[in-house]
Amino acid sequence: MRLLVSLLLITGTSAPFQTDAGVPFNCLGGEALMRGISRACRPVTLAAFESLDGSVDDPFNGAQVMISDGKLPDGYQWGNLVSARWWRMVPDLYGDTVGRDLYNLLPLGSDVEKWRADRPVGEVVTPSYSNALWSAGLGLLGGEEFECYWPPEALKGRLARAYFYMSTLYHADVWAPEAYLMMSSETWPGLSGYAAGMLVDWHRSWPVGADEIRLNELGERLQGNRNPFVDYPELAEYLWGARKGENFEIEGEPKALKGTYRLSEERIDLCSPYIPADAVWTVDGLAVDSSWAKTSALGLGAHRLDYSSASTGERGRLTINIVEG
Amino acid sequence: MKAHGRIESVFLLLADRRVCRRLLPGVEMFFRNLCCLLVAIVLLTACDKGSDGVRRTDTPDPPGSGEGPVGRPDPEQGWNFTAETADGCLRFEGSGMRLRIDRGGVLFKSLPDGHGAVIDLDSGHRVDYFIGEAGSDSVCRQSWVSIDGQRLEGATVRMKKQTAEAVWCHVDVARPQNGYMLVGLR
Repeated sequence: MRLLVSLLLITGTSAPFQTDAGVPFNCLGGEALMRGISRACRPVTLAAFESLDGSVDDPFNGAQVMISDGKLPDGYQWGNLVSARWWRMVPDLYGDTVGRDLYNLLPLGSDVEKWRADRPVGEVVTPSYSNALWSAGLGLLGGEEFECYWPPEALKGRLARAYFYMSTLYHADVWAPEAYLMMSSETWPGLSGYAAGMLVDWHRSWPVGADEIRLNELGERLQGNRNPFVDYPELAEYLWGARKGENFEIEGEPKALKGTYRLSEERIDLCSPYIPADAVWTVDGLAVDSSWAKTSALGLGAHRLDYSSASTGERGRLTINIVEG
Repeated sequence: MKAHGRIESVFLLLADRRVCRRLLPGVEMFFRNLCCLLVAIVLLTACDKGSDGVRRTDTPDPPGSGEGPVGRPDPEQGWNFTAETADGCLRFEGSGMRLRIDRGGVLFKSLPDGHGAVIDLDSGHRVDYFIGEAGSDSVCRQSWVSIDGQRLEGATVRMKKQTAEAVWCHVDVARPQNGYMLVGLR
């Protein structure tokens, strides 16, 4: 696979980077996992186009695109992997973030903007446009014709992970009509069954490459977040693939707080996608000087957990239950 | 042998049905009478309760025992929140929602600027809110409440009680919903 981002020189000031201890969505599953990722992985700020310099591959035309202070050569404009216009029914929900999120951005030639437009992804049966790399036109699904485009092979893996990222972080209850083939109004799965099947296949066939890892480094510096589907490719399996609905778990990483623990569980990690990483805790009124509490030391029953965070000024409280087993 | 067995089974089935048909009228009559008796008992009980007139003193339901609303309609004084404000359990309840701190895994958080959230850690469902300053009419101006990112349109937030530790607010929304009771960290 060709490098999509061959070189990006960063200028200007980088964004404040929000550090979180561990993987705050560890040990969550299904809708809770989806919401946890959405909470933990949002951009802290938006990157200024002027801070982008370097050269980028154009997978639609097989050309190199030079970027200077965020400006693109003639015939190119900034576009989106997942059309930002699909969020037009809920304009106040995310503002212009969906269109400017670095993980959804790429330079697009005017021909691509014209022929791809806001079409969903689908195998083109009757092309109205095609070159050696991609095509757009009419597709066929369940006996119905629909407008679609078929992306270049070099883009499929990144496109899949962009869909995973956008559908997880920017959920909408209502979509533009042309989005429904790909997106779902449900928080989880967020993607339609058709899209999930196709994109998980692409994700497996075109795994994360060096270009996406570099883009993640860039995104972390410029907008303070990373695409979790690049860092943890197996996440897609837990949300839409072979392990759909199971709890995502990385051994050795702290596990997100939950409502009920079994006495046999060794520890209660005091972390959550919804709680700042610098939280200082008390359990049943007693200060905790580490980031976890021993389950057996607390014992059976309900326990009150309180925290406060110096970085955000927030404080919070919850109850956990420890049961036999 | 197998075919013979099947024929026997069919014969037994037919015999059973004949017996049932003979017994059926008597059984039917018995159940009809029983139904009439039950209906009469229910009607008599309802009439007996209704004849008490307006119940001026009412034992409040145990806190959090219902799905809302939150508050009890009093014909003379409007809504009565005595039971709600006596219950110190952090909670967001009403219109089918029930998030209580004593359930386990429900996080209540607040920020110094008046923003707060109630989050079910096991599902990720959340309620976010902002409580503005309460006026003399107890209405907290500029307040808002959202459930899973969707603002409650036309919601009016009224401060019912506040302590150094918590705030009790009634979130009044358009009918047919009955509103919500929010007891959040201060």
